[in-house]
Amino acid sequence: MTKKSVWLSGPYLAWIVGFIVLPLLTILYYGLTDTEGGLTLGNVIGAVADPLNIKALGLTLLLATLATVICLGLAYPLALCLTKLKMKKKSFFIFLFILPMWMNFMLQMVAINTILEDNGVINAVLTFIGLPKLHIANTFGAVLIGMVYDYFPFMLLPVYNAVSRIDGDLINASKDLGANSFKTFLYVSFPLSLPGVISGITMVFIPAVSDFAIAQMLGGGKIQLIGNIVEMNFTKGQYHTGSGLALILMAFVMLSSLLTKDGAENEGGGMIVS
Amino acid sequence: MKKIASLLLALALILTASVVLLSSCSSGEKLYLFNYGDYIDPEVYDMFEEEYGIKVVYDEYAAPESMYAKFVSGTAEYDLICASDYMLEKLIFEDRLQKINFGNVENFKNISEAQKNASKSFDPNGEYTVPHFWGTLGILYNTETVDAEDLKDWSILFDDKYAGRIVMPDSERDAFFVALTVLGYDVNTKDEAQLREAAALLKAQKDNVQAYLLDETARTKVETGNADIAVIYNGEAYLAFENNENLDFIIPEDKTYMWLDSFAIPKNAVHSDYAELFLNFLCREDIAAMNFEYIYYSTPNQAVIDGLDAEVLAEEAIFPKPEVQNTAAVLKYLGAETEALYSTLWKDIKS
Repeated sequence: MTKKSVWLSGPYLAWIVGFIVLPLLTILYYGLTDTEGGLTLGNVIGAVADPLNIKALGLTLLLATLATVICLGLAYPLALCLTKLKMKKKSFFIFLFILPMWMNFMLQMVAINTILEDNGVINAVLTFIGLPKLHIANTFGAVLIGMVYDYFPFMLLPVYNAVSRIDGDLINASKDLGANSFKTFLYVSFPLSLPGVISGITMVFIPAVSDFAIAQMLGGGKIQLIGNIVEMNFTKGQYHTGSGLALILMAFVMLSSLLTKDGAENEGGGMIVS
Repeated sequence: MKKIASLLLALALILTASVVLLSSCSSGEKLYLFNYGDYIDPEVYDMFEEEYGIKVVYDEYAAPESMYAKFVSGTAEYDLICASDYMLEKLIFEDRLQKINFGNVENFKNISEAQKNASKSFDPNGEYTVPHFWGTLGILYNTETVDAEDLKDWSILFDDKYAGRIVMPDSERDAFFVALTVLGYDVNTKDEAQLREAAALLKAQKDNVQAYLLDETARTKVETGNADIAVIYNGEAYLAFENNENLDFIIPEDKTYMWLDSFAIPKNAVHSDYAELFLNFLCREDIAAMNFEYIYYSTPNQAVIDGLDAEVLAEEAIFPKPEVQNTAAVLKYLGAETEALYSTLWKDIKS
């Protein structure tokens, strides 16, 4: 690295130190000390020992996993369709799927709530065609829908990028060599798209694990995720307990990003196409 | 030529920067206020600045516990705070407030004797606080779907009859108030067994509760017909009436607690003089009337009350009837140990 390029990264380095490194160190400090300032593992151990936290952690992992799987299930076929479109249409459709990100997050959540509510849009349609009402608002399902809605673009973009870069000649070669469409997909296109899939999974799963706002806005205060407990601790000034729990959450996030990073390197990235 | 241009550009930049800096300095005089959200008519701030040349810079909060956390952390220093009774009691107990010089708050004479007396439950000598608004907890309900007879008793909230149509307050003390009242216990109990019993009741109720919400979010649920019953503060109920005429407010068995939100000056206030000036301004009849018309909670300002129509005074969602006022409980500060127990139990209920 030349001197000049170090200079250029200066603003971001300052940013990263001030807003990422320092806060992380603060959490580490609070997480590993007690109210008197003495070193302790009590916060971390206490966080794991509390069955309520374990229950919340289980619920969080379940929700994040489901949201990731659903996002992938929706995004992958859509990405395949998009690559087949003409260039002009393609950019229009991608624009369409990114559009929700332009909208204020709070507004998105309020809108989803209005759609899902007992007297909401969905139930109005159901009643109109003579079907019984669905109770989705303020349930696990509502939070799941909110997460899928919010994180979907983060799955679609990397998956679409990976799928669209697959060399058509490789597909043709596979077919020439006698593989049917399914086999071509399984042995050629899918492995080639894996890096995108994995980065999509990371981009959805990690924020979903640490989310608290969606659960708060769509769960009606009845869905308590690990993020909600951390938030509760912090707003009540229980910084040590909250930081202990935050450290555990961070461990999970790091673990999952390490796992997916290994996957990306071994199974896709370096193997066939750069 | 190019050099001169860039020099000029640099000069212009420096000039604009200093103008911006200067203008922010010259507007100088500032009062830092920490208050519940949307609790003063914003126009009042403008009027205060116009009259006294002091700008009110305010932060807002939703839950008393989070106010306390931010206040104590010292990340921001305030000249004036507004908080609820038991929180003020805690702040007085911890010696975090300073005595108000009532000589500077001449309009304090407008505050009703009843509210001055009510303040004594947390500020025994009336030295630290100036009342802002007060109110009660009750039930907002839809008269078309709910039988008013059922609401004679708080225990209907724990019955299956309105399962899934109930909104409970997302606030520990309020939720426990309801459960403790149904069980017949003192609402300020520190007895662990009683609190655990109340928590068990609330936990069993959770399946029947549609959501735990506060203030306008709770009110909106009932206004839009997505819930039929909400445990809510009286003033919020009154606002709901304006949006849906089929709603009513009731205090079951006349059993409720009275909260009183008051202003106080922190010990580390930089401008307690500005704070007292602002307090005097808030107690002035016309300003108090503006705030009353903006908030529609019960005002402690006797001068405003005297000027109201009989119709407004008869509205029980704004001014609870005397029987309620005389028997209402007051929430007390329970001490760190019981507070911690509350937190644990509440977390369990929500889990």
